[in-house]
Amino acid sequence: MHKLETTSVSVDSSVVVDFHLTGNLPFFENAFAGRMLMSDFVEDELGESQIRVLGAEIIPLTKDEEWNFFAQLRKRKRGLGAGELGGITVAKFDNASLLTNDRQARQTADEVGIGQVVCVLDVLVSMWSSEEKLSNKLGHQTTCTPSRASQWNKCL
Amino acid sequence: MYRALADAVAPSDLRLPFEHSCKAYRELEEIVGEADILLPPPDYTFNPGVHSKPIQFATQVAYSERDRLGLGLLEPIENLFRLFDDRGIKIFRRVIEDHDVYGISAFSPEYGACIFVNAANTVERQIFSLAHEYGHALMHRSFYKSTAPAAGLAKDHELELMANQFGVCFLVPELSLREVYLRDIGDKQIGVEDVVHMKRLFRVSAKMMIERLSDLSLVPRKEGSRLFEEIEKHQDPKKEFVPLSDELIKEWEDNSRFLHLLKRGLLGGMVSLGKFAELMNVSLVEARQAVQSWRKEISFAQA
Repeated sequence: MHKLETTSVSVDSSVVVDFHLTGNLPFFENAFAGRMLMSDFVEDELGESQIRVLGAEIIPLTKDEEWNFFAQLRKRKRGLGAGELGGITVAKFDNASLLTNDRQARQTADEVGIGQVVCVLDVLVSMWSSEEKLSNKLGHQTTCTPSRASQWNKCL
Repeated sequence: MYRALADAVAPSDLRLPFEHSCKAYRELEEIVGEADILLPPPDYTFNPGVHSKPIQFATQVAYSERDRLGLGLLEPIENLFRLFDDRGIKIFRRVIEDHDVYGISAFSPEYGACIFVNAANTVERQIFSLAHEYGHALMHRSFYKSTAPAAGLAKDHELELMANQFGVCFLVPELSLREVYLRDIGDKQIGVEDVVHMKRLFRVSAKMMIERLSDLSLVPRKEGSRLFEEIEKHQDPKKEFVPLSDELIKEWEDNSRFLHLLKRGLLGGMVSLGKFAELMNVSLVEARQAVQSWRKEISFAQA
């Protein structure tokens, strides 16, 4: 089983925007149903573009420890936006994987000890392998996956 | 301190984005390691108690600044936006309809000189506003005292008259205008077509050109009034007579220093998509689309 299939994930805006722009947001929502955490900073950012992600659990920062972590990160990593910082903070304090396409956010997550950091390509590989297993069970190869993957490659 | 060119007070819906833009520009410079790379413009502080001839003072500052910028006293300025932008002056444009605000400036040791220009105005007005506000930033730095927004000054306030004089002399230096006049008009009677030729050359409004010609006695006052009336006959009061194309502003905006730093930061992995949206004050979708078009631009260029 792929590592992404089980853990909860803290998503940042860049990933959601990419799924939204390629018209695949429902697919994404389905893939992470019941285990998608979203910082309220990410929710705010997406709200400005009228993007809503169904099934995401909105996580506000409530504890001093979380706010201090967020503030310190903001000072240290000035190239990151509030959404990315919120996503990292949620991943850190909720022991979730971080799902982001941003290189700097991934490096930062590594630095602060977030166990698993993934990007859209990892999601695609995970989805692809799931579908492959399913199709093998059903006895035929799915035809939609390669075209979907090339669509994502264009987007990245 | 904020300053409106007209008698109007800068509206709050304008002050906040201006303040945001100034801070965003500085933050971007810091993120990509380009802060304090360029020297701030020099300080020609005007002291009302010491300098008894404010208009002459402004004239001298205009010529001195032209000299410092390598413009000399003969050449018209091709693109004022580009010129100032290249020297690190933070320039912002935005359409503000229904307001008599032409330009606003701010100065602080940290942010340097920041100038807002109302894009709803004619190109000629925008160029003049930019020069006018730059004059404030050079001569009236000590008046930018408070971090709180301040009201605009009356049109006939000494500081406003000085900034106007700075703008006029900076854009249309006497020596340059005399030379052009002698070369292109000489002893012939001046016509509206000559005014159009010169306003285009110096990139100022037709009315300002006529005033300048009259002030320098190149054209008698009576003749100036005749030209003025002739232009007014054919001119929509809200529009410029034979307006300049906005190409020069577009050319600058498409390749401004801010945009360049932003592209470098983003494509170099120093600025995230979320940060990009914050700095540009746009939505994430708009930010993503801009990034994609930049990436395409670069891949086409490399192909």
